Amino acid sequence: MTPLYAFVPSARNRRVWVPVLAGAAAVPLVVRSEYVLNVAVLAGIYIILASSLNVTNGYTGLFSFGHAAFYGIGAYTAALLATRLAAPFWLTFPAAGLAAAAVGSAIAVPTLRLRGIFLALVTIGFQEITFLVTMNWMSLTRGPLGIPRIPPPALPGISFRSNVAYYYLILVLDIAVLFALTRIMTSRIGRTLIAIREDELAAQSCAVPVFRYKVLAFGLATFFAGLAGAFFAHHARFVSADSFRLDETFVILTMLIVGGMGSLVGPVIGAVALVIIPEAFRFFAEYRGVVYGLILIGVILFRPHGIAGVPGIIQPRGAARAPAPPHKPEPALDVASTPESAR
Amino acid sequence: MTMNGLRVVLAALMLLSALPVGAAEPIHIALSAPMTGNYAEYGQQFQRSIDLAVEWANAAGGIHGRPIAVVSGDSKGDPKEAAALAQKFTSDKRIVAEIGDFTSSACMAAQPIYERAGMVQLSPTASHPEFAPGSPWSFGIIGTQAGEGPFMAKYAVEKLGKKRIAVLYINNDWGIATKDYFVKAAQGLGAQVVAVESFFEADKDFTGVLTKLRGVKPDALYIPAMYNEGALIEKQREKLGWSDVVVLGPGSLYSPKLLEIGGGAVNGLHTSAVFFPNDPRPDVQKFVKGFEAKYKATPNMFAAIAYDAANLMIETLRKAGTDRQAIREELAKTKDFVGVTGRIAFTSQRDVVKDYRYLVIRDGQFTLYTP
Amino acid sequence: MLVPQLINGLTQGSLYALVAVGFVIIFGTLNLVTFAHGEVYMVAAFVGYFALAVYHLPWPLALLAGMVAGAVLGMATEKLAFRPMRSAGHMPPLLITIGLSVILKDLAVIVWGAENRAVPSIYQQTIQVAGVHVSVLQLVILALACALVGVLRLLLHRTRMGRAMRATAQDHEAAYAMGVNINRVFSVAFALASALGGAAGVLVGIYYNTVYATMGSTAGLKGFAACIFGGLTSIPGAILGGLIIGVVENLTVQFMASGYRDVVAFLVMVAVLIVRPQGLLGKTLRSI
Repeated sequence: MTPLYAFVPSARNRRVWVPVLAGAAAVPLVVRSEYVLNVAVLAGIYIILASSLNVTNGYTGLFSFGHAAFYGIGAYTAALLATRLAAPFWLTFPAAGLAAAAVGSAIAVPTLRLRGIFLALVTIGFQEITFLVTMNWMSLTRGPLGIPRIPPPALPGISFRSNVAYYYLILVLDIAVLFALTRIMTSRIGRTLIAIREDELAAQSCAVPVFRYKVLAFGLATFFAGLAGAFFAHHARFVSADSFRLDETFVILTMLIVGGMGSLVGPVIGAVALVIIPEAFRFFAEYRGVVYGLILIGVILFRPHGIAGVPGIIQPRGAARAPAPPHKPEPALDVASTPESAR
Repeated sequence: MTMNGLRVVLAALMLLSALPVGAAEPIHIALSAPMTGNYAEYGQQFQRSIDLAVEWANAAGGIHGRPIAVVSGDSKGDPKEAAALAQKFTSDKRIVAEIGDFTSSACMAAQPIYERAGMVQLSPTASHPEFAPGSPWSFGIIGTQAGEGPFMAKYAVEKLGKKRIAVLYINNDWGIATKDYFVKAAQGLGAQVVAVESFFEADKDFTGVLTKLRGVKPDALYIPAMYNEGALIEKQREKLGWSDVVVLGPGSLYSPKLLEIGGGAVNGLHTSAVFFPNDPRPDVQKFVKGFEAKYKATPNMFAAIAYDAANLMIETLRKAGTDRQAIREELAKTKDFVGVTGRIAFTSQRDVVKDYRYLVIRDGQFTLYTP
Repeated sequence: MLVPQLINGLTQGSLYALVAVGFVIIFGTLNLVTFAHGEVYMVAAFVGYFALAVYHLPWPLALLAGMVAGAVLGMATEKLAFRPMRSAGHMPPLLITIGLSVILKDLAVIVWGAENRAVPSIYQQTIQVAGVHVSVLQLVILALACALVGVLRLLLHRTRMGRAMRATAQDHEAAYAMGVNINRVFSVAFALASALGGAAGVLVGIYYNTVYATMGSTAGLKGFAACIFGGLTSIPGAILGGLIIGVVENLTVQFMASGYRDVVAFLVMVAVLIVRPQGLLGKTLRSI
């Protein structure tokens, strides 16, 4: 029985995923409440966001902390094209992905030489800069006013007055995105990215153009984040910069970590779980932050690979660790009494 | 227990206490307001005033014998949350109308949902000129900056004789609209607007921008801001030793908390009000005394306008019944509702024109301005 | 208005510097980064607020109370986030501190509310120096920041624990082999760093007359920006970084628009990381 993190939907295991899909498709037939469907749509958006972050943080082992900024770039691109140029959804959707990927690739080039905490910090820096530029660039983004009155998707014959249509749309998009990611990650590209994550030096010595692949991973991740942004824009019909800050990145990251990194189902599980839990416990809405934080800490402490993640991404196994000193060492030498010259 | 839970329990208790013999089915109205977050204090004021109005209405027999129940939701001042609440409220068949939200951007984010579902959205405080006209189901009762801007410009230029005005505004939809209307009106009256600077909502550091504004030597400083930032701006201005300037601000500054936070730094600040707790009118005094008795605090402008929203809603329900469409029709016809903040008469765009008073702070108190 | 803006910048910058030095101490000794530092600063600021506004203590006591609160919270962070994850690399402790910061921020909103608390004013006067108005409070803050850094230097160079910290910063293994109690060093490092951050929090509350539950987020991020300047391991670098960011921010407000003020810190951070990630002060200069 394959572990959850190794699950890849294929023709052979259709007994597993076909019922899940059928169940998902049947949800609006059973659930009538617009409000619950809204939650489901939100989960659908986060599935794309967490899965896209998985490409860089999970598969490639790059710690990017700027994901929400690309989500926002996608959302604003779609919003602007739809409100200023009356562009239809089937145009704004890919345009948003391309815009986010363009910015993502541009940022990737100067920054992906950095590792670990430095990469994390530079992506945070870009995240904040994007936010502040969006807030200040009144003529393009209307700054803090946000962009209101974004039209719903105009697909022939379908009315988007109710969340049912949005639900089916995000379901279709989720399937498409997950299908694309599956194909990419099980191809040579995916294997290369994993190789880079596991041992960059070894990959380099096998003549892998590591840097180019990292930029590719970044571009892919930001492309899908942009797509999610476009859907968000047409669903919420109002975008404003403060939906796309570091807090949002942390939410997506938490979903990814809890669900599990480096696998296909991990981000899906994480997204669904962490959208449903706060909604189910709306009574404890005030404590949402505390709950998220506790879940994150709990996962890192007790099960760092999350529910369905590949073990060893967050806590690397292997010899590259310094042994932990025991708690009460007997002093072999008193540091104070060692003469200056010996130190 | 959370605020939300407490509210529902309170509402239920009010129901029980207000039921005449032979309990009648309550009529539900929704409240969307920031109970937590940056604007929590305003949302709490809304809740208090609405609870008070509903309590009094229920004690007087409710609406044709049926008590009113309030279903509250916390929008956190976040447009996305306001929209989520709108989804929740409009899906709830018992709810007939909604009061809220606090900020214009929260209202505008929720607007398409209320419009799609066909439910009235009555905002006590949204003052963005594009809000009410944006949907036939949206109503605003605080007046837009199209009215207050020229009023404050007149105050600065004509009443106080200022010629060189600097503006420091909060960079959100309300602040931008307020700034625009003021600047246009002030320039129209012949004053020079020598500098315009902005700050973001969560900013607390005004030393840099105040130093910059001081450099252009204005004789007046107009600050479109909420009372929190207003108080901080004044304190930091005092800290920098910049005292040779007259400071004015719109009615958003008019609150006892400005005095509490601002201390001595706010003496001499000029502002406007649609509501003044010392107004001798009997309905104003009844509200003020009742509010003080129940909550041990004097109501501010936000509490007053929420009170009027609640009463306007209650009166509309009396006339129109519980059909959502009928409520909208009746509300739009309002021409002569007199509340504690003055007369409410909706224009064809569903906003109102208010009357303002000139106020100034002397010796730590808001007083009516006399030259 | 140049001189007043410089003074504004130096004052604000010295507060950033205190936070940044805290990061450097932690990264230098433990080789780890904490995202919860901003929240420690925030909790200390609230403690200072309560001391001043509710208990009416004199401000030096409030400052001390905030520093102690910071130190305690910092040591608790070390025990929870770093001890169990000592050998797991950068990421797990970082992620735990992210979780902690989210929890602390939320708890602060729940317990203390989201609204701003008004901190009573001290030193509202100004004095005139060569025709320029200078706020007495700004001078006091600058002096305090210098004093705190001075005390830090004394601790690092004249005490046994300070030596142990510097030794650990150079090489954990060697220090341990020399009999240094590593665990104690880590605790002290965290306590020191958090006390400095706490001092910054209390002083910020006094300077701007307000404390609020979300004040830690930006402060923490700007602290990172400042210490990147020195390559994450140099204390003088962190101080310089903080001062430069403070000054450039105010000059940006003066000569451009005030809306761009916050971008400065992040532009500096990104620029330094891209161009010279080891910081502008050359190779790792580990201590003062």
